[in-house]
Amino acid sequence: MRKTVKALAFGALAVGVALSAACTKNTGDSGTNKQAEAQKFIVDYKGETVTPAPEIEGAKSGGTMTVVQEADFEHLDPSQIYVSNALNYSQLFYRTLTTYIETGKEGDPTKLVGDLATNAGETTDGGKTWKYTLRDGLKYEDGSPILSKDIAYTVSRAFGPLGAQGPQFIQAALDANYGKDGGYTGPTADKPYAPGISTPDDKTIIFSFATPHLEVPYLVAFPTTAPIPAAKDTKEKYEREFVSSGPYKRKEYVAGTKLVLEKNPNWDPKTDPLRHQYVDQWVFDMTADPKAQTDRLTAATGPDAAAVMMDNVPPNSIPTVKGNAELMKRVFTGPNQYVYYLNINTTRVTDVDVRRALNYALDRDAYIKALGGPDVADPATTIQSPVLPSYKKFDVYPSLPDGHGDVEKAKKLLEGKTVPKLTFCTSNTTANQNVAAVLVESFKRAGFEITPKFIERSAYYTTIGVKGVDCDLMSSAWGQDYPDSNSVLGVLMDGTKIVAEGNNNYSYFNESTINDKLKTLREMQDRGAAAALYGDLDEQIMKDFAPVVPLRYGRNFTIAGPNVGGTFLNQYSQFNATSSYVKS
Amino acid sequence: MLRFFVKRALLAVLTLFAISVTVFVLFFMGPADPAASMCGSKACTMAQHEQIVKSLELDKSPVTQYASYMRGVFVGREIGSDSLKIKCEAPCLGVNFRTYEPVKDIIGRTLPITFSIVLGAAVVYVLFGTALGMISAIWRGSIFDRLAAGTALTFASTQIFFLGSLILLIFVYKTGWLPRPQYISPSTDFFGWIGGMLTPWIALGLINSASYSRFSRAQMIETLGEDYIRTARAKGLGMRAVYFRHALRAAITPIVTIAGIDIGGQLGGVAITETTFSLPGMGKTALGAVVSQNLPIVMAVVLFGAVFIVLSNVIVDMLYAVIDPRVKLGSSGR
Amino acid sequence: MTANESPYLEVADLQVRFRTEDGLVQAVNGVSFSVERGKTLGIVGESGSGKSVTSLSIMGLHNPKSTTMKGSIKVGGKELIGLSQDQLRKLRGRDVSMIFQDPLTALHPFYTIGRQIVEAYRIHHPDASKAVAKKRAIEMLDRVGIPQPDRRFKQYPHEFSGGMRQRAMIAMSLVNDPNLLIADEPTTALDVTVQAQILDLLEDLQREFNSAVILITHDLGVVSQVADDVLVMYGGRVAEFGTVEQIMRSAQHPYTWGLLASMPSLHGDPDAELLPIKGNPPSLLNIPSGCVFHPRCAYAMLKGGPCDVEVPELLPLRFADEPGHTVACHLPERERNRTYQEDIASVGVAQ
Repeated sequence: MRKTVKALAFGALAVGVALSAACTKNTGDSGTNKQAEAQKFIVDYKGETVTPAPEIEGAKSGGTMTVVQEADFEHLDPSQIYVSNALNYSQLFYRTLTTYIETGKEGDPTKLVGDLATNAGETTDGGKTWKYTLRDGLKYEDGSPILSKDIAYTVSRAFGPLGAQGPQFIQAALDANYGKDGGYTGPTADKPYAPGISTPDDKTIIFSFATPHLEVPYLVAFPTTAPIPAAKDTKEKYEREFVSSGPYKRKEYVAGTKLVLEKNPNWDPKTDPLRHQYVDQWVFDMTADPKAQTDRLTAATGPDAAAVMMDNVPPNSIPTVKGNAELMKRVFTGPNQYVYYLNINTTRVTDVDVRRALNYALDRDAYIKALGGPDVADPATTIQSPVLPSYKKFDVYPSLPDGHGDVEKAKKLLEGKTVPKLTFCTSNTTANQNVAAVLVESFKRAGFEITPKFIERSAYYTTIGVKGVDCDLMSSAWGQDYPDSNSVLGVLMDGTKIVAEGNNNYSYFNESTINDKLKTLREMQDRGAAAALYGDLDEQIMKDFAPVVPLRYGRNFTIAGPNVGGTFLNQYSQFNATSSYVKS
Repeated sequence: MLRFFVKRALLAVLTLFAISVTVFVLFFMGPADPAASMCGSKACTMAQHEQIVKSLELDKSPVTQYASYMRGVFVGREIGSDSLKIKCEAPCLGVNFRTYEPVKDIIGRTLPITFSIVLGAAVVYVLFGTALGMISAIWRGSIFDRLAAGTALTFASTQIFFLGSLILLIFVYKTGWLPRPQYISPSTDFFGWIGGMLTPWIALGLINSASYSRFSRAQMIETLGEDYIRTARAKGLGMRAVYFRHALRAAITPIVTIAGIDIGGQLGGVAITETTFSLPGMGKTALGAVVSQNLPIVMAVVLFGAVFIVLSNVIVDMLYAVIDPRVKLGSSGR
Repeated sequence: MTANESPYLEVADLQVRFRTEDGLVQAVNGVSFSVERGKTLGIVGESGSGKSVTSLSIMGLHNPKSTTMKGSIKVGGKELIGLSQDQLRKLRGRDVSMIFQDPLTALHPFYTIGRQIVEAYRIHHPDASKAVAKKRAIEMLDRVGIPQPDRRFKQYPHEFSGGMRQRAMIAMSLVNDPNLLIADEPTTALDVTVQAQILDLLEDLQREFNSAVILITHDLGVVSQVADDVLVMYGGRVAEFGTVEQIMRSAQHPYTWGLLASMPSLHGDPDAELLPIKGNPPSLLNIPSGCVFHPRCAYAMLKGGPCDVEVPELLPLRFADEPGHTVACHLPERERNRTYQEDIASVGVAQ
C-alpha cells in the first residue's frame, strides 16, 4: 500500500524517505503494543472462519467515534483506494471478496479470509483459475442484493481512468496488454467485463489467468473488489457518492472537511466474519494537521475522548508526549510496514565484498541521530519489515556494540581492492541532506569516497527507476502492498521483473538462483507456509549478495482517546476500525 | 466615474491574464510531474502514469492546455480521455487532478471559511486596534499609552502559529473556555459560526491589532496636530466632538486604505492561520495542492486571490472618495 | 455687556511656560496689554516671539497638562486664568474667536464650508434648528463677500480659492458675534492683492460689529494699515508698545528698528537695501540673560552691562511727548532718538 504525499504544517515537505514516520524505541510503557516479531499467517482457503465475528471482549454499543486527520482521504472510490488510511477505514463501508482478520493480541495469527466470499479463494489448477462464491444475504445499503456481476463490473471498471491511481495488480494479471494499445480500458456495451472474468451465476465469480497467480486472495482483498452497483456508479462523482456494503453508510460528506458515517441497517452481521457495529456514528474530521491532532488527543476533551489520530505524533512533539505518563498510557507505538534502504546498484558495484563492506561500514547510530535520535527511528538489518508475516530477525553484518558499525571488518573486506568512488543519489529534502552528510562520513571511515547527488523530489523515483541509472547508491523506502513477501522480496529482489523504466528493484539485483527461488515461493499454494521460507531467503540474500544496506524501520507513534476501546495498530499502521467501540 | 470602472476592469482582466499565464508557465517550467505525484511515494507503473496523464490531459502542450482552461472558464468543457469524460460547465475552473471534484466546488466550500476568518478578524483588529491607537494618542505618554505600546510590540512580533497554538492549548484544550475552531455555516447556526471562529478571530485580531494600534496612534497624533483641530477647538467644540467628529474622521482614511488592502490580500487565503486552527479554507487547500502539484486548484486559488486584491483596491478607492471629498474617482492619479 | 469705558481685554503680567521633553519653555514672560472694543491691537514679532502663544492663551487653547500660566487675562471683566476647560470652551468662539494663517489647513478638509459654519453656530446656540443655523451661515458667507453663498455653502474648502477660504474662515469666526477677534497672520498665506481685500474686510466688519481685534503678524506693513496700537514682542517679552503713529514714526527699540528696516517701503528708495535683522530669534528653552535681544542688538551696551545682565523694564518715554508709548531698552532715550534719526529714518525705510 502507499503512503500519501503530505505537506508539513509550514511548507516543509515530507516525502519518500524524509522524516515522515515518527519512530521511537518501544519503551514498553504503552498500551497495546505490537511487538516487532514474526507473526504466523493463515489463509483460510477452506472457509472455516465463523460468522458473525466473535464479540470483542468488553465491547459496548453506542457512542460516536471521531477520527482526526489532516486532509481528506485521497480517494474513497473503491477502484482508486490504495493509501493505507483509506484501506483501513473504508472497511467500515466497503466489503471485499476477501479480507484480513487481526486481533492485535500477541501471538494471534493474521488471517486472510473470505469476506463477501465464503473463503479466501478456490483454485484447482495451481493458481490459474480462482473461484469465489458469495455468502448468502449480502445487501447494499439500499437493501438490494450484492451480486457477483457487481463485483465483475467493479473489477472491470478499475481498468479505466477511475482505477488509474489505485492498485494495478489484478489488472496487470488479467490482461497482458493492460495499459498498452489494445488493452482493456473499462466496461463497454460489448465488453462489459475485463478479460478473464466470468460470472456463471449471481453468486459466483471466476478469475482466469494465463499464468499462475497465487497472490490472488490478497489482490481481491483490495477495495478493487468492493462492489459498485453499476446503476449507481456516478463515475468521477462516486468518490463522494459511494454506496455502502458494510456496517456503516454515508450520512454527511463535505469533501476536505468532514465525513460522517451512520449505521447501515441493511448490513447483516451474520454474513460478516470481520466487522462489528458497536459505534453509532463515525466522524472523520479532516482538518487537523499532526500537531493539532496531537494537541487534541492530548487534551481528549468532549468528543475527542473517543477519538483516534490518523497520523503519527510529529517528531518534535514526541518529547512532550513522553513526558506525560498519563498520556503515554494512551500512546500506541510499534514498527510499521516501511523499511528504508540504501540500495546498492549491483550492475555498477559488482563486487559483493564491497557491498558487504558498505553494510559493515554504516554508522547506524549516527544515521539514526541525524534523523532525530533514537526516539524517531529504529535501526534495520533485514529487507523485510518486522510487521511482515514472513519477517525473520537476523543481522549478518553486526555492528560493534557501540552501534557505529564495524569499520575494521569493512576494511578487511576491502583489502587489496581498489575502493571505488561511489555516487549516492537521494531526493532533495532537508532531512536527506543531513542523512547524506552522515553517510558520506560513515563510509569514509572504511575508505569509501561518496559523492551525494540530490535529485528533485518529485522526479526522484522516476529517475532512479530507469534501468542504467548512473547512481551507485540510492535511498528508497518500501512498504508491502499486501502482507506477503511476494510484495516485498518478490518486487525488490526479483531480477526477472527488471524493465526499462519504472523499476522498484533499485539495486537492479538479478541473481538467477534467487529469481528461481522467488518463483518457487511465489507459486507455493499455501501462503502461510511460504511466509516462513521468505524469512530465510531474506537472510540468504543479505548474506550472499548484500544488494542493499537496510537503514531503518519505520515506526508509529500515535494516540487514542481514553474512551476508545477494542482497537490496536493493524497492518495498515492505523487504528483497527472494525473492532473499535466507545467505552462510555 | 464610469471611466474609472472601465479602466479598473480592464486592468483587472489584464492582471488576471498575466497571473494565469505566469502560473501556467511556472507550473510547466518546473520539474512538475503531477501524474507521478498521484502515485505517492512509490513510482507509478508506466501504464498507470500514462493513464493518469491522459485523464488529466497532461499529454497536450501547455498552450493547448491553457487554451482549453480558458475555454472552460468562459464556455465550459469536457475533461479527460475517451473512456472518462467529465463534464465541467462554465465557469469551469478545472477539476481536482486527484479526485475529479470540480474546482468550483472546492472554492465554493473553502471560500466561505477564509472569508469568515478574514472578515471577522478584520472587524476585531480594525475596531479594537484603531480604538486602542486613538486612546493611546489622546492619552499620549500616559501609563495606558506605554502599556498599550509594549503590548502591541509583543503581539506584533508574535507569529500566528505560535499565538494560535498557545490560545488553542490554554483556552481550548486545557480549560475548554473557548469552543474548538471549526466552520459552521452562519446560515445554519449563527452562534455556532461565531463560536467556531472565535479563536482565529482572537489570534489574528490580537496580532493585527498591534500594528493597527501603532498605525492609528501615529495617524491620530499627526491629525491632532493639524490646524483644523485647533480651529475646531477654537470654535468651542468639546473634546469628544473634536476627537470623534474632527480627528477620527481624518485619521481613519489611511487606516481604511491599509485595512482594505490587507483584507484583500488575506482573502486569497490565510494558509498559516487556517493550518494553525485546522480550518479547511482556501489557503490551506492551496498549500496541499501545491505539494501534490494539483494545478487547477493552485490556479483557481491564485486567481481568486488576485481578484480579491484587485477588488479590494477598487473598493478602497471608492471608500476613499466617500471619505475624502478631495478625491475624485478617475481623476486622481493615486 | 461691559461698560465701554474699560478695555474689553486686559492682559496683565502674563507668564506662560510649558514643559517639553527638552525642558521648560518660557514662552511668554510678563506681558501686559489691553484692547478696547472697536480698536485693533497689532502684535508684531518674529516666530518664537510669544505672540501666538499669547493669543492662544487668551483662547485657552494651550495644553492644560503641560502649561503653567500666571498673571491675569480678563475678557469682558471676567478672569480667564483658573477657569476650567469647560468654562473656557464656552467662551471660545462666542466671546472670543480666532482666525488663522492658512485657511486651507485650518478648515477641515472633509466637511463642507457650510457644515463647519453651522457647527460653529450651533455649539453656542444649541437651541437653533439646522435651518436657522444654515440661514445664519449663508448670511455670514454673504456678508464676508462670498458670491453665491447658497451654492458655496455646500462646497468643500478645497473648492474655494485662498481668499475665499479666508473669507469663509472669517465668516465662521464671526458667526457668533464675538466681542474679541484674534486674527493670527490672517493674510500671510494669501496673494498680495487678496491680502488688502481681507484687511479691508476685517476693518469693515470691525466697524460693523464694534468688536475688539487683535491682529498678530510679523509684518509691520499690515499693522500700519489696520491697527490702532502696536505691541512689539521679542523672546516672550514686550519690547515696545505704542500707537501705530508712535511706532511707525518714532520707534524706540532696536528690535523695532530691525523690523522697520526689513520692511519694504512703497514710498522710499526702491533701490534701498532691505536689512534683515542678523542672527536668529532666541531659544525659549534657554533665554539669554539680561535683555533678550542683546545678542542680536547692534547697539547693545555690553562691557560691564547692563544689556547682558539686567532685564530692561518696560517704561514710558521720559522726554518725548508720546503718551502711552513704552519701551524696554537700556539705551538712553536721547541716544535712541539720535540713532533712529540717523540710521533708520534717514535710509528711508520708515514712512
